[in-house]
Amino acid sequence: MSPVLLSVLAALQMAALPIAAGPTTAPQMAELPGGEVRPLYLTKDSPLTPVAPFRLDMTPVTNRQFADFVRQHPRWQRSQAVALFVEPQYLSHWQEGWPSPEQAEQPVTYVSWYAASAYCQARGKQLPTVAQWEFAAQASEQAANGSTEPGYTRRILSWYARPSTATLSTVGQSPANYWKIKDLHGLVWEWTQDFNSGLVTGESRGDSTLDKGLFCGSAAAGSADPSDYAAFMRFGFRSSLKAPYTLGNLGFRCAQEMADENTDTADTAGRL
Amino acid sequence: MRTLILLTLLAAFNLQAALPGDSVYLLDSHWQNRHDKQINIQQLAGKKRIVAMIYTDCITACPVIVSEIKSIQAALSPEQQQRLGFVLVSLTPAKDTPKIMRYFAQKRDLDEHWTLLSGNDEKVRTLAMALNIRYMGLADGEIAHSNAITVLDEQGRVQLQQTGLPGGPAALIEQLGL
Repeated sequence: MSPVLLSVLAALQMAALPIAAGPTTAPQMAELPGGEVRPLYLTKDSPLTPVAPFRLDMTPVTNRQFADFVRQHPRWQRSQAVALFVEPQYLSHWQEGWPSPEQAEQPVTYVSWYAASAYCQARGKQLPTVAQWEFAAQASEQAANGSTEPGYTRRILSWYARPSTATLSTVGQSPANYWKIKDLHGLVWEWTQDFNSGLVTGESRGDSTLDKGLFCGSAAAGSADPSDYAAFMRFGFRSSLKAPYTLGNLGFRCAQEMADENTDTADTAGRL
Repeated sequence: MRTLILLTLLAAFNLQAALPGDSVYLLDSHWQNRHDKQINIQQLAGKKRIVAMIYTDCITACPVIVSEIKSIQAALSPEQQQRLGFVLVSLTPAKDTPKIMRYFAQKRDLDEHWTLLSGNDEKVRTLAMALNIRYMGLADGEIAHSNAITVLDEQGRVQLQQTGLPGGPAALIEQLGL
C-alpha cells in the first residue's frame, strides 16, 4: 500500500476519533457491512444474532504495537500490572520487559482480557464481540459465508489439532479472507469482548445439561449446528477462560463500531 | 476498634495505592446510585459487601437472589449490619435509571444498607469479569446470568462466592466472620 494512502487512512481515523488515536502503528482496519450470525448455543428456533456494520483490524495486534501501548501506559508494564488484571505470566515472553526483534511482528500473546481491552480503548476501539468475531471468521477467501464450503471447517480443525508449541509466525502471512482480514484462523486464538457470555458451568462433566439453577432465564440449551465442530471448540475454549488469564497462544485484535453512538467510552479510556 | 478507625480513614481517601493487587475496587469505575449520585466503586471499601448482579425487570432468579440476601440481613445483629453492606449491580444499565432503582428498592423494601448501582454496558461487563459472573442477553429481552452472590472483604477482595444459601443465612454469616 502506498504511503500516501496510508497517511490518508490515518488522517481519516484521527478525524473520526475524538480520543487520541495513538501512534501510526495501529493495524489497518477492514469495514464489514454486518449481517447475522447464528448463535451456537441456543435452541434451533433462536433468532439469528444481528451484527451491525463494524470495522475490524486486518491483523492481530503485534508485540511491537503492544509494546508501544505499554510505553504510553506504564501501568500495563509487566512489573506494574496488578493481579486483578493479569496473571503472573503476563508478557513473560518478552526478555527484559520488551519484545525481541524476532518477536516484533509476531502477534502479542500472554495478554489478559483486561490488557487487551485497555489497548483497544486507548486506540478508541473495543475488543470485537463474539458475534462480530464469528461474523468475520465465517468468511472464506471467496465468500462472506464460507462455512459451508468443503474444506473450510477441515482447515480450521487441522490448525486446532496442531500443537501450539512452535514459534509463532509473523502476522499477515495467511491469505486474506473475503473481508481482507487475515489470521482469524491458524495463528492464535483471540480474546472477545463478551467471551464470558457462554453459559456453561465450565466443569466438563456438568456441561452436557445446563444447570438451570445456576442461571436466570436458562433458555440456552442445545446447539444450532452440531456439525460446526470448529465453532464448538471456540465456544469451549472461550468458556474455559477467565479475564486475567494470559496464554502463549491467545492474542487479540480490535474492532470499532461504525455508527459512533457510544459516547460514554471516553471516561474509561486508559483507565484500565 | 483501631482497625475500624483505620479502615474508615482509608475509605475517606482515595485508597487505590493501599488496595491489594487483587482487589475488585482497582477497577476504579464510576456508577450511579438510586439517589442519582455518582459513586466510585472504591467508596464501597471499608466494610464487607455482598454483591449480586441483577436487573430490576428480572422475573425468575433475581427475586430469589434479593430474597436470599434479605434473609441474610434479617439474621444479622445491628452491630453486624454496620460491618456488612449489600450491593446490587444492574445488568441492564440503560433501563435501570435511578428512578427505576428507587422504585425497585421501595417495592422490595431495601433500606440504606443496600447500594443499587447502574453504569454502562462496558463497566458492567468489566465488573462481571472481575467477579467471574457470566451473562448473556437473550432474544426475549431477558438476561441469562450466573445466579451467584459474591462476598467482598473490606478491601474488595473476593472472599467467597456461592449459588444460593445451601446452609441457610446463618452458615454464610458464620463464614463471613462478622
